[in-house]
Amino acid sequence: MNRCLVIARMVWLDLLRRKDLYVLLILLGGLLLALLSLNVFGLGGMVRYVKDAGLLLAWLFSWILAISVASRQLPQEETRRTIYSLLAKPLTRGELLFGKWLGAWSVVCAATSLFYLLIMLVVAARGGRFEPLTLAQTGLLHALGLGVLTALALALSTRATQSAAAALAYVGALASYLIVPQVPVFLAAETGLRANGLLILYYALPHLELFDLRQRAVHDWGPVPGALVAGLVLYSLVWIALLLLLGWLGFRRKRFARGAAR
Amino acid sequence: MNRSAATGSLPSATLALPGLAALALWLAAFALACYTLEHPALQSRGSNSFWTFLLGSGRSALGQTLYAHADVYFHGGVANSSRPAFRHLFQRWAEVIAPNRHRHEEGVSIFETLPWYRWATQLDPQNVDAWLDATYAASAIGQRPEFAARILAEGLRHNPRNYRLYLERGRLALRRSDWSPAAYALDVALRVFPENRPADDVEARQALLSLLNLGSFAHEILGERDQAAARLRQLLSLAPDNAVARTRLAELKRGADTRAAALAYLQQTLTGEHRCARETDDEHDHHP
Repeated sequence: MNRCLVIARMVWLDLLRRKDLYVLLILLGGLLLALLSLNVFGLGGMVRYVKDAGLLLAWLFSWILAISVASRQLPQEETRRTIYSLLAKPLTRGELLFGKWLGAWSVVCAATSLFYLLIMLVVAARGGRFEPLTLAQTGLLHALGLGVLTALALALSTRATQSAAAALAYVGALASYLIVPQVPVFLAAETGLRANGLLILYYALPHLELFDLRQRAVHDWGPVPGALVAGLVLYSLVWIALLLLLGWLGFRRKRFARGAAR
Repeated sequence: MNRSAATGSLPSATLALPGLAALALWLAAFALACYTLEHPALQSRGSNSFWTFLLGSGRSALGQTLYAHADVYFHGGVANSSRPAFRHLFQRWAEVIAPNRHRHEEGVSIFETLPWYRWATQLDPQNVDAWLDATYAASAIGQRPEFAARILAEGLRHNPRNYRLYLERGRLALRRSDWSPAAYALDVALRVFPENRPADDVEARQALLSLLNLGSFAHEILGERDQAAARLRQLLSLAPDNAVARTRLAELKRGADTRAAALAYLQQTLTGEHRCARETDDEHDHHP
């Protein structure tokens, strides 16, 4: 486990050296301030739209960060040729993969926490507040969804270049979030082969929409039952384990040709 | 790490940052545009040109999306969903997370819809439904008719020949007991009402009936009996089975003082006019 933590720490240091996170934080702050300056027919006191747009941006930015961080980890080591020195150490490929996932997931969660903190400050400045337990659940499920997303991008990057893995992860994530929840509605008008294809999509892709509690936090609907949160924790763990297993299967016997740049 | 290894990290940065930068620029431009559109310099040249330049014809589509989002806010955050073909564990979970119940925002919380109407109308000032819904939210639910009047004035600046906006202005004035402005707005609405509407245009026919009905009330309360009678006659030519209009016209012809009765009728008419579109949607589940 210690070896995994060392790998995870390297991922953190790598992200802190880069500009991505700072750019996203500044951008989020700028956009939230622009939202505050909106003139709503000369009427003041509205705060829900700031929560809504703020959380939407937090979701968007955390997804961008998760996919870009997770999909570059292994291809980057290969391009830099540091993969050889890593694999020469007393470290299994499974540990390397898990360490990379742990680092990517935890650093993205930390960045997302900063996004949430910024949103809370702006909402408070506007005179509003979030219901604490609902916000905690929103953050927890958001983090679990990011866990699935980082595992997906990392698994894809074991057998694809960084750009290909990122593109596939974006397509998969968007399909999971936007199309998969609509499948039961589409099926009302479909039959035969097309209906079967939709059903396969429905069960084969992760349901990322279930990790989205933004509307509850924005419209003050209150927290969801604890049993549902527990079920979603279990669901996300199953998906993370499955995707990391697939990633490990793709990575464990991968041959690295010296001198071959990707 | 040697030099080649260091330069090896460049492709990842070059792939991620341009995408982020493009997104950042677009979002910043959008946010800035929302703010700067209020500037008088842009107002004087017509707001359409700015958004058309920025988004092209996609601005109407984006405006419609934001208008739909305002409707979600009006329903307390509940989106209008279609009936699924089957129910599975994931859907039961999704229903716990976002219940499909039917409720409306009330009181000052209705103002939370206004930012979305603001954006929708900025993107597409010809979206008359958005202007009307914003007015309704501010006046009938939020009880702030002065803001509603301001919204309508802005809507009319962008749509100066739209009878629906004049009808709403007349309705708003009637709610505030401003009889003269109400009669004037309803008369203008009648003048700009398009003559060549198709016979099966139910919405336009209903609007014309409302115009005539409300106009007759305004003129009747002002003591302008001839004009009130003229509108009632026109109303009866379109809806001969309207018993209330027939009674009112008979009373006017008799020469009786009908103003108190007109006020009572008007009160009934104004309280029973709005109906939520989702209430007529058969596919929508209504949970108490």
